Amino acid sequence: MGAADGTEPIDDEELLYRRIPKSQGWYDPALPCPVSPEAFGPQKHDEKGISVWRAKYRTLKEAAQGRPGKTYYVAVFRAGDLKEKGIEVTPTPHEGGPGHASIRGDDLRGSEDQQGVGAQADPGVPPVQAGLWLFSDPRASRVLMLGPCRGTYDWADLPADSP
Amino acid sequence: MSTLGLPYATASSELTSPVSTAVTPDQALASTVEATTDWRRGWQAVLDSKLIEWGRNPSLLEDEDLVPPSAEALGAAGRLALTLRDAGMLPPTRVVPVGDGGIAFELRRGAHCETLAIDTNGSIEYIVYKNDRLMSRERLL
Repeated sequence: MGAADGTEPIDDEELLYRRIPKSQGWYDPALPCPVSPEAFGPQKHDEKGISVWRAKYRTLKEAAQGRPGKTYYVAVFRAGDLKEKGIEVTPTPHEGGPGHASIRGDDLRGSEDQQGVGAQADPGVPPVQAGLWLFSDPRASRVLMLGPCRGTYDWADLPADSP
Repeated sequence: MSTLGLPYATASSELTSPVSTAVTPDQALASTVEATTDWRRGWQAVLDSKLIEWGRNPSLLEDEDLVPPSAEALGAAGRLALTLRDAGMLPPTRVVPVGDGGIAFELRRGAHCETLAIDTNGSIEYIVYKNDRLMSRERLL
């Protein structure tokens, strides 16, 4: 397998995208802590960990594409920041195609055998490190940029598309 | 104290503002009544604008392969909200669907987050996060 098929190791400087559906209320900028842990819980499609997309293979706009007509946020992480917190991210192109990666763990929200107060901590929920972008319907001409840089931006102001 | 004996009760008591010695008993009583009323209103909002609304219109939460809260989860969440409301507990800072048919009540205190997670079958877990890391989880019901 070559370097272009998405199997190569993830570099610390790579950015990773995680789509968060607005419909679930998992991100609420009005709250002191805007992101719910549920935003990083494994869902049906997260077979072996939490699905993320590598920015070198998928643009921010592509990462934001979900059900037509719905609105999504995209949480952006730097792989090295996750690694520093002991969170492993593995390329899993066989699960979603080139650029797909997984934050590993049997259940990052905790396994069933962790009963009782004082149970050992697990790898945990990854913090949002680099920002959170709100995407309206892809046909919309403007998006909100939230997180460290607040404001309203045009699509052209978003991070450069790649590759 | 909650009739369920929930650790959530500890959180709510810690969050209660201490009564200043400078105020008169009547004022203290008035502020306590006001806080209790606000908390009760908060729980009512959970019931009215979240749980009942989700039950009436589950399509609001349909998105990709996410599963809206089940009838069992909605029923259990409603009973839990009524119990905690009537016990004078602090309302959650956020109530969200989990995406697998369950519901989560979250109570945030800075870096500390307590969650009452209602499973799709109506069972309830108490989960504690600190600095966005899972610290513990315990099945309650």
